[in-house]
Amino acid sequence: MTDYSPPVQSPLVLKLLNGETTFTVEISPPIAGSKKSLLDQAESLKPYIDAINVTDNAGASVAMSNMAASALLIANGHEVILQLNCRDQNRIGLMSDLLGAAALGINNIIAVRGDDPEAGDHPHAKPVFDLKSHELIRTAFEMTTNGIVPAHTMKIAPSGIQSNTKSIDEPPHFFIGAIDVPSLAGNEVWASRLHKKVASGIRFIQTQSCYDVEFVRRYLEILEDEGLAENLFITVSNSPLVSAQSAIWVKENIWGADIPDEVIARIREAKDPVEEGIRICTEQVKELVEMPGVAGINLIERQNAESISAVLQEIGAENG
Amino acid sequence: MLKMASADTAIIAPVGRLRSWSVRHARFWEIMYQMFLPLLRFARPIITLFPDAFIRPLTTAVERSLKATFFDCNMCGDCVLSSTGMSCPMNCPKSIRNGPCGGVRENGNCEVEPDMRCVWLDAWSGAAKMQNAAKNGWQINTLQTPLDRSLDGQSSWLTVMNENAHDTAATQKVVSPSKPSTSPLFKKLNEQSVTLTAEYNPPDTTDPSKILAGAQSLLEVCDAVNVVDGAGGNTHISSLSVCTLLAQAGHDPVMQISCRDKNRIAIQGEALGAAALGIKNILCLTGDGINAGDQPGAKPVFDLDCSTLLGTLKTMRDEGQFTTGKPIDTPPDFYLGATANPSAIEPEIEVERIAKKIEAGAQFIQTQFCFDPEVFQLFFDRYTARGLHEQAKFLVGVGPLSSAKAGLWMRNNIAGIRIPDSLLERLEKAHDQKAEGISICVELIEAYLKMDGIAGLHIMAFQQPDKVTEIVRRAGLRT
Repeated sequence: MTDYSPPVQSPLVLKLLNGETTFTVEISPPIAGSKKSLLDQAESLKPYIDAINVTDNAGASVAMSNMAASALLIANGHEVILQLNCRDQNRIGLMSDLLGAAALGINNIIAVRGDDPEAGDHPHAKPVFDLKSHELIRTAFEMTTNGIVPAHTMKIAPSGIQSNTKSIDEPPHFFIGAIDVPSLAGNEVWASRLHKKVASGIRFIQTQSCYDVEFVRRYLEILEDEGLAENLFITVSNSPLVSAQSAIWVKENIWGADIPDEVIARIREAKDPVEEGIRICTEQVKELVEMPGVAGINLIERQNAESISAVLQEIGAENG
Repeated sequence: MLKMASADTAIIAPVGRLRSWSVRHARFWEIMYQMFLPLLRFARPIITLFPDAFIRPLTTAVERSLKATFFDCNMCGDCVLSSTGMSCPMNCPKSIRNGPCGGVRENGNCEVEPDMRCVWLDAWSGAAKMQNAAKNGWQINTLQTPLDRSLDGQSSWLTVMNENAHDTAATQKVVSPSKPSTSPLFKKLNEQSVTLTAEYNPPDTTDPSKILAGAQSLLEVCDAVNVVDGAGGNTHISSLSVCTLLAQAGHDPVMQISCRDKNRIAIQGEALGAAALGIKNILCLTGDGINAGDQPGAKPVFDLDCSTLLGTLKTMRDEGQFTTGKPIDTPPDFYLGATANPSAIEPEIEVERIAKKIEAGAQFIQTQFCFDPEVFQLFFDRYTARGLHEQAKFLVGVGPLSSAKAGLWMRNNIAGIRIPDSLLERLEKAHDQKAEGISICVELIEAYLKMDGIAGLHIMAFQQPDKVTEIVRRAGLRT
């Protein structure tokens, strides 16, 4: 494998390389044909965070394209992490998006598989799944390191047999990541998948929401045992819960979200569940930040933007 | 590992012999269906006596074996055979529900599978044999809605039996008059005598300044540029991102969306994004086949086709919601376009096909190259007789041939393009073939602009912006 160090063009990567804890917020773009709500939301977060993580039609429900949302965020001075799913586009679409992302100034990419269309609001849509997520990672990696649009076929041209691979003028500088679920860690299937992704070119992992700090600790130990820890930056996801009901919904509907029953009980018994959610999140984030091996914190927005701001203020997160 | 993507996809057995028999005997199948349908509904109370776990697999198996034999059915679960002349549209490599596409070869065969006759030409000839054509108007003219992929592998007969038939949904269209668009292109098409658009194939770079520079000279002589979306099945930078850069620089791009690479989730997301970025003009395309390009191993998506894509975007704009009924905050304000191929071998079908696109939502039409004014006239007379030029602005596609050799290559390799021999001979004999190619283009422009109903020109000169400038100036259209 070609040697590959992350692109230092990205301020987020600079911060990670410096060993500072990064703070990001994951948002889903609005179901709207206008930019106002997106930019208003981003503006309120700006003082606290290093980058905004933009989901790609999350939960198989249609929302504003995250490429467009990212372009708008970048034009307003935000750094973004672009998620790309394998469900909605074939390799031609994905590669054209990768080229486009680079032209728009997007350096940070997370490759995901994507939920099946049945999970979302367009169950009639055709699931594409032309590439697997590790193949998408490999593609973005080859674009970065070799400066090519990779193709594994040949064509017959007037001048003879030619490769379909072509070079990119000004190659992109992608910092590539994947999503992982701490509670799945340890078994062989998990290990082989993650090793495949690392070999394909990921340099960071963002976990799914995990409300059990001990799970994260165990996860980091397993990564260490697998020899993966030193090559990867690990950012851990969390989010302030707003009610016991929504906590149960998240646990049951979001793939890989881990919420222990004690946490749900704490929210249920609290006089003010929203306050309690902020308190739990703040406690956990403070503990996570101190944990060796945690490179950053990612707070996932699920109609709890005010709580997120409260947590960020509480822990004294600061951009820059 | 290198696989050879050879041009000749060898087909061993003749494809669809029984299938073409069925199309030739569409009237017979129509009678069969007319008898069979009431029978299905009549059978319903009896069938409900049996457990679903028994009936469903049985019906599905019987339906599958019968329809696979006679129609090469793929069990899409959303059968439209009686509206498509008994030719199953799922056999189309682009699974177009409203066809044919613009890539039909001169011999009537498919662009993607050169040895197979176009499924949709079959459909139109089958439809002509059916009696409902005489009685109730051609069912093939019905605009088909996007295919419900969740029904894949299920029995259409059971659906009919349960009276959830889809044919009612297709006819219940709300025809709401479109609001005047705020697109600058719309304004120009309504105010100028000749509007010029040019095709822009951006370079394979991630440097935004080079991308903008490439469009600059085109924008100096044209009113708008079309940014292609993976043209010819080749991987290029995304149309949305290039349009974003152009819109941010104050231009009014035409964003092309092809159905080849994205499903409806991604396409609708992109459309919302375009709206938020101020991109107003969208040209809807079905898209070229995968095998024409540099990623022949990619999966063809074709979740929607040009017409269903137009309908989907129109619903988003006019009704402020997705086709599923989910509302959109600040509905997008699109000016929607579609393509046409004036040199299509069956001009009657082509006119009907564009009529469908206009019905679906197309407000402007940009055509494929047309190098023969006589062929164009044949097509355009039918088009104007149908009154279509009053329903959508029509821009004729023109472009320079750089040599006789290039012209020949184009004729042989780009499906749907016809170049008369006389033109190639004229180029061959010319002292300076490049200059002659430009002269021919200017003459064609003059011929087209004499015709009534032409709103403008769409100029295509692959990565030769200087030629566009020269053509426009020599035709006296801009200074």
